[in-house]
Amino acid sequence: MLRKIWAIASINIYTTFTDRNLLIIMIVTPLILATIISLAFGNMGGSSPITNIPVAIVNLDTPPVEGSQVVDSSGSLVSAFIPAINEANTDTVALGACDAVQRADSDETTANTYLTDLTEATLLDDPAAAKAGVDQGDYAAAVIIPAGFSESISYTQDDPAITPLAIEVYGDSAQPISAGIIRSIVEGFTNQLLTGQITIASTIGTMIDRARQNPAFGLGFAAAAGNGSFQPDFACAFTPGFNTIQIEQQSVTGKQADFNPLVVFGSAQAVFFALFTANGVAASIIEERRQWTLQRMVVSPTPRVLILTGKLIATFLVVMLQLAFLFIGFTVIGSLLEGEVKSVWGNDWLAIIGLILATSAATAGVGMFTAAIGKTAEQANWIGSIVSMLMGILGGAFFAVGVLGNFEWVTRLSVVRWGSEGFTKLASGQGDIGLNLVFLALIGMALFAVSLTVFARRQDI
Amino acid sequence: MSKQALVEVRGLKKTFKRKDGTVVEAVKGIDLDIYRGEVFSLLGPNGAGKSTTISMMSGLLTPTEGDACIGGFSITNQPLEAKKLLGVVPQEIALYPTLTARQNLEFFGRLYGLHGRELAASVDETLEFIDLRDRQKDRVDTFSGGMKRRVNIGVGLLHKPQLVYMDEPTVGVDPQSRRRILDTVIRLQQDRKMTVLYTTHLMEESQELSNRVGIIDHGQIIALGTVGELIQKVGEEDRLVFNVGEQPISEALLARFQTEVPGVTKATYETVELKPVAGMEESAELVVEKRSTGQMVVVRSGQVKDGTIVVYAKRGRKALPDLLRIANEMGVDVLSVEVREPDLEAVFLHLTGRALRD
Repeated sequence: MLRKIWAIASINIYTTFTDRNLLIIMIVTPLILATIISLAFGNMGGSSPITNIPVAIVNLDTPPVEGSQVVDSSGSLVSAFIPAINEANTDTVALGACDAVQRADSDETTANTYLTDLTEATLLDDPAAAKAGVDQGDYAAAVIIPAGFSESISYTQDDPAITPLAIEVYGDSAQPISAGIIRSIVEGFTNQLLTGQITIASTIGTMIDRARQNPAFGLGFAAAAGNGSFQPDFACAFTPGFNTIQIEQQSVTGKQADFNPLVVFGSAQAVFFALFTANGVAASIIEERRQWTLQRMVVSPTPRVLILTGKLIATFLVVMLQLAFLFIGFTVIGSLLEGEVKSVWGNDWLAIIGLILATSAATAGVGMFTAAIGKTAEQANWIGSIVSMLMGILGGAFFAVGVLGNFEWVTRLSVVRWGSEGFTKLASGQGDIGLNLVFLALIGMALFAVSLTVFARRQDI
Repeated sequence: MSKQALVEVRGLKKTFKRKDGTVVEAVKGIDLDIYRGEVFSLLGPNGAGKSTTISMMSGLLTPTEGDACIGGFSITNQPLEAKKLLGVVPQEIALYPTLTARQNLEFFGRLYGLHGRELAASVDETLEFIDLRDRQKDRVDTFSGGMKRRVNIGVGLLHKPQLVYMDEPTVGVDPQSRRRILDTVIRLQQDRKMTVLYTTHLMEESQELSNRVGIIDHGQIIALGTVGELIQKVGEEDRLVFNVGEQPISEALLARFQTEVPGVTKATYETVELKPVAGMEESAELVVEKRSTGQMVVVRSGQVKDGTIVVYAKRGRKALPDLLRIANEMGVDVLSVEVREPDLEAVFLHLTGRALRD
């Protein structure tokens, strides 16, 4: 039984991959097209950094009153994005010794300088307006600092408990990399704030314990605090960019290096052309009926379901091999352009293989379905071409899907988008492709089942 | 030859529904036995139901009613067992044009359960049989029509079936290739002891190859038997066809033919309205297509009808001088005469009133 299925599948694979003209369309054309489009978009080798990520900042928090033990954490965060605010509020955040250390260490290229290059922040008052801006694609993300944020994470004598309020980062799903960078920056910053508060709490706690054990120390400490000779500088713990932001800077740089238009357009073109291939292989069922080889299979002692299974497997394997060849091709092109051998698809090989399999299933499913609804080979071919073109356009094979703004959701109807997005995520080091895998595999299986039913009902086989 | 039936067809019927909702009965209930080792011809004009019948008998189409059993296995209920005994040579060249002859044979061989050495040996033997061993590595699309036909036949023989269906295998081939295919059928029966079901609309092929013939028309078997048995049905009479052009023919002439000439059993007269062949309307001479033979003939300019006297006689050639004498006496100028000895064409004409090619 398996021998017969494999015989049917292998004859399709063989006839496909021995057709020179077909190979040019399947492999060479997408490689050339994607390379041209990627070169037109620039940033080919990933050497150019991401800059000026548009971000909206909404600070609903009020600055602490003078003399209060509350640290102006929200002001510090805002100043990380907008240095002008920082300068205007120098009286609320005293950098002290840390400032000197930082300047000595990092010359002029400070973390804040880096952030101003990386981001282009706009201060807004209304969270709704900020979110609307994100929805419209004006901002990659909106950072909304809630009212009472600084107080919630400040350790004070009256309220020693720290119950932090959450900062909201509202990201644009059409710009996942940029939104992810903003989210990382905010996370790094809040971690830094908490670290600072913990430092203060533990320092004061230690002093209190020592004073209890040694009343003389306690009296001396009180005297020193009273006459001003004890001036602890905790600012280092809160200084944005001094510590955590620098770590974030490394992280962001890493992401920048992985971002490559060849990946985005290459993967989209690969899936787009795979749709054509899948349709062509699937439509061969109808074509073979015309050339009578299908009938010849039917009159052999081979159950019809095995013939269809062989055809389904052939479609899947042809597409899978095409995608594999294309991804190898894009890796070679990427390496040539960069001058070093490197995988443009990232290094999570298991995920890459999984995504190729899921994408193959989905594209083969679409191909089978478009072939099934066509009554003749010609009809199947033009239906397949239209569906492939639409999916390619919607899925970002020719332009970045972000330009669709509010209609970006439409792109979710395209398997090209799901596949391309998954590969782009893997290339940028993100591993969260679970949804892409599940969607692609499910759509593949569902369309296979529908196609099987249609073919069987029409008695094409 | 033993009279053990290898194929038993009972009440086989197929109806199709047209787009306008009308139902067409392509096959109207066929009963048929094909005996082991015989070549059985299904003879009939185009559209008679031959291919539909063979499609049902091979499991390609599901019968509306009835069944066919091959070696005791029902094609509808035990199709896999039945198909193992069967090789099919369709009318179309059912091959992958971009594959070589050998690759085509190997692929279809695998579908019949052959593999490994057994498959290789079978392919070699088949290539030898169809005389294409030296071209086995050439792509089929580089072959001539006749060579493609031979590979097409080879695929049907690969698994050494007990029974082979051959659906009009000589359609569209040159005379040399046709001869080779007919010889192949003869070798299948004589050397391989195979049973062959051969469909054709060519009486000569049927007459040459068949042990028995089933004449099919409008989806029904209208006559069944050996060639001799069928010819006996038309009384072993020769047909003498006299072309008399536009001349008026009296009943008296026909009566004299039947009463005065020994052996004559029947004489009929018919006229055909002559219409010029399309594209030759402006010609000074009228060019018409002769309905009985399909040949183009030139008749006198201005002639509007063509008359034919058909005489059935036991010994036609012996009766001919008397018939010509009587015609002369009655003032009829005979333009041409054909003497046709009894054949399957005559049987078909006798049974249906139409020529096979009509």
